[in-house]
Amino acid sequence: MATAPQQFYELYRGSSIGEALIDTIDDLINDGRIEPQLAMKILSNFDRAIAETLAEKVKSRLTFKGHLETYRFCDDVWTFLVKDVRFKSDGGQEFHADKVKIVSCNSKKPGEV
Amino acid sequence: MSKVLVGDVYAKVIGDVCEWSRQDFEEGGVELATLDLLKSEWQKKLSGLKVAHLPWDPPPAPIIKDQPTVPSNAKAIPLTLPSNGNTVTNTPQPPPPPAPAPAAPSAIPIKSENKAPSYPPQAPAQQYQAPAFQQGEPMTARDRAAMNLHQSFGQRAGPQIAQLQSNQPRIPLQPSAPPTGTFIKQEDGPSSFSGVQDYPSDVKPQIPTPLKSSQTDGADDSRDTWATEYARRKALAAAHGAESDRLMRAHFQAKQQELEGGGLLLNLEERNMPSYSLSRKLKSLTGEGPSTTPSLTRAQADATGDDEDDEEDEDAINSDLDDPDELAANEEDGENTDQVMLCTYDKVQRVKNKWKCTLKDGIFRVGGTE
Repeated sequence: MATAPQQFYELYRGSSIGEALIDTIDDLINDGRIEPQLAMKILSNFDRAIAETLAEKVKSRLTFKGHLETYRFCDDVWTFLVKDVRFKSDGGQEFHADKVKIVSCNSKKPGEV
Repeated sequence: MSKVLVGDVYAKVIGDVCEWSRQDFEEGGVELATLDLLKSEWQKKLSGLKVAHLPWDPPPAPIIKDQPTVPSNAKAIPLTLPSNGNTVTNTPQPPPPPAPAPAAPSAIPIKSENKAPSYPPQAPAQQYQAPAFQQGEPMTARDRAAMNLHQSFGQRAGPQIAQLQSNQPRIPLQPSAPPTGTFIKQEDGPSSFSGVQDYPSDVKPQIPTPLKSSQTDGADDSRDTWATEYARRKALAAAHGAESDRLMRAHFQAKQQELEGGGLLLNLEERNMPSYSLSRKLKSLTGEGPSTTPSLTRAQADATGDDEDDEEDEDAINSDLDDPDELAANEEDGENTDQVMLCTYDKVQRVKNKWKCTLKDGIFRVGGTE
């Protein structure tokens, strides 16, 4: 990796693809096939890969409305707990969720202006 | 995220991660087959979650048979068989593969006996051939290591050098010999060497010798050691499975919690704190915090029972507090983590009780799809 791996958020490890990777790495470590240090490198590669891919490839938009139950801003991270949310996607699709947690990091990294 | 896009994005992420991790695997000395295994298992697990239609789903081609040493063994066996067949059928064929391999390197030391008079040049099993790599041959790293040992320790290094040589016989010296030569130990003794010199004249009687020497001693040895090592690790994993299990997941959960302010948002009962011992293990893994290597604690020299104290700490304060938390968290975990959006924000504004947020680069899971 050209730059320091800390430059990418570890946020996306909580997605399904991240969890699948973590499970897989756990299995490999338990089998003694890889070392935990190597696993950490893989995960930082994952952080970079998913951040870049999302920035490059995903252009779709989503708007939503709901009742904000809890909000918190700590260490540059917003966390919202929204209830009774109504989403509207680009293609006019609508769907509904009772309760959604939104975890959001600053899109500008600490060094950026 | 639109449904069509999800599969593409995930495929690209997996591809990128595997590509970038390749170098890390090589640096870590881990077989690349393990990387393939990681990839296929990852894809399989992701498919199992059924969050989206993934590009690799239709063609069911996961490559799973990736035992790290199997390829090398598989290569060795077919190579030995035809070569043995050749020695039987083609009698005038000059290179009977296994036999000359030990002959050539040991033939040199016979002539240069006077250079290292303290060692018998025939080089039977436990001796080593000190002068063999002073003959202008291209030196391998192993040769250089053996020579260094010889120079600095002289005769005392004999067993180590012999071990070096018998572990991996020199391949580059025998370009004509097929890879089966790599498995021959140089311990066939003088009888096989003399047999080799007579080889072209009477091949038939020599058949047992090449067969015997192509027994692939080395391969069997390494396979044995690998098998024992594998069994040992298996036993270790079985014994300590409960401890080491989910290490990465625990690490991730700890990080995630850190991200959310250590669970400040949740009710106290819902908080999912990792156990103290686990978090301590994780800290030592990631290199955070003070490193508590045994030498350091010993250097303190005033605390006698540091290690014991540590273990008692786990039981003393935290375990009582942690356990109910974990139980409560397990009960209520389901609803909380069901629908999560992970994203970055550009702008968050609030006017009275109206909030307006501009978010981007998000992954959102709702109703089991993304």
